[in-house]
Amino acid sequence: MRQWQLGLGMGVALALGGCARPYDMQMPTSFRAYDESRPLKGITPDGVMLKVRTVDNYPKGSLEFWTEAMSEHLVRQGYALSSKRCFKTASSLAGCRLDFLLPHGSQDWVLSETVFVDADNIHLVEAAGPYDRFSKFDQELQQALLTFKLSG
Amino acid sequence: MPSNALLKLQLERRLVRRVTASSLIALAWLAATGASLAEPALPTQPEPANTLPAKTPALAPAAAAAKTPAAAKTPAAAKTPVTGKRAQPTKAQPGAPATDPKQTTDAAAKDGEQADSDVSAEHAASTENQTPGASGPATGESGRLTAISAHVLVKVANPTDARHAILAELEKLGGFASLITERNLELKVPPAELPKLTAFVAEQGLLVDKSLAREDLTLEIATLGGQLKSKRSILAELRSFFNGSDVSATLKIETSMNDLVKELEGVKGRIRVLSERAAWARLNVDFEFRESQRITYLDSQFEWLNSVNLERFLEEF
Repeated sequence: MRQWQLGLGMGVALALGGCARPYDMQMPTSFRAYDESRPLKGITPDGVMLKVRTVDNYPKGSLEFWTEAMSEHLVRQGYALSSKRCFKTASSLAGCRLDFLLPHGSQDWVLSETVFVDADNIHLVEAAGPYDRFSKFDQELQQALLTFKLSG
Repeated sequence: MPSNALLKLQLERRLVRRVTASSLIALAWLAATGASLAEPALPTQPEPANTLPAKTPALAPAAAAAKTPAAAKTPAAAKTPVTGKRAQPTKAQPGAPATDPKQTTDAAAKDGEQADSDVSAEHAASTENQTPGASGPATGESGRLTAISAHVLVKVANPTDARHAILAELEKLGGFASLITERNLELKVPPAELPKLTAFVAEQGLLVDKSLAREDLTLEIATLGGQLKSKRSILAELRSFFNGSDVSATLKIETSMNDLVKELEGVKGRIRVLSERAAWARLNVDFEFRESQRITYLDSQFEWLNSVNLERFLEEF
């Protein structure tokens, strides 16, 4: 009985915590989360970073529309689109992940942008790191993206 | 009085001998050092009243001997232009020291003659010795010579391993590397093997960028071949001008022939370079972006898209 109450209490607490963000996503296993940060944010021991943010879906556009707009905008600036993966999450939310390569300092970096769109918002899961380090976490990140879901 | 006159005549002859000898030594030195003689700098020839005809039978064998390879190789023939026995300076006599220029120009002329055949031989050699396998120069349809160059930007997790794998494959395909750095490889491969090598390189990681360029060299090589032939014929004509020419003219001809030989060598070299370019396809492999591929920030009509970039991400993280 006591265990049941404790579990319920934890569930409520988690639910309340989750309400703080309009989304939820499991952090990839190698990443450590910044608990005090309102947007979901994590980092690996070797400095690959992940952050989720939300912007207004204005003018209202579909996932395809924003994916194309982002790809076109970044490629025009010199980013190299290395991969585009569109998928559905465990909660059947459609998302598209675009990975870009770019020179940064003396290294080449990856900027990964995953786009989820709902009626009012665009949710961006952004991750970045030097190519050789980022590659190690590619699969982990993809698995974590499948857990992305909208709250409320 | 008659004895005085005789003495005076002898003195004059001695003086002439000395002047001529010194002039001829100077000529020989110039010819040996290859110094260029412009018209005003030509040494003045003394014109004694009692000069012999330009071509005396006595001197003809000497001139003929000068043209023989044996004479050319005899240092005495070249270094002793005038002996005390050759009392009478003649116009032909400077030809004796001028054997050096003639020999050099003869050699040059021979070089020039060989130039044409050398080029074709070298062209063949470039395909025999350097062109690997049976593929030969890049000749497309209708046998045209083309230079093929390709560029690949491939991202690999471990550039050192990728580099070793690529170089091993390159060796198998009969190519070689002309540049190896941490970030870049410059590879040369038989044109027929280029697609295989490019595919292999792409398999090593993530292919980010790829380009291919072809340049038709047929016209340029043909034009240079034509130049080579015309220069060769001019050289042959110049050579024929030696007969009956005096020292001044000989030196001028020599200068012209030397210039021509230099031009021939230049044309030969150019043809060799072009043949080399056609014989090998060049593949440039970059493991990292080049300096010229830096990011240029541009505004988007969609406000939030302007915040999507690495700099902003790192700043706000």
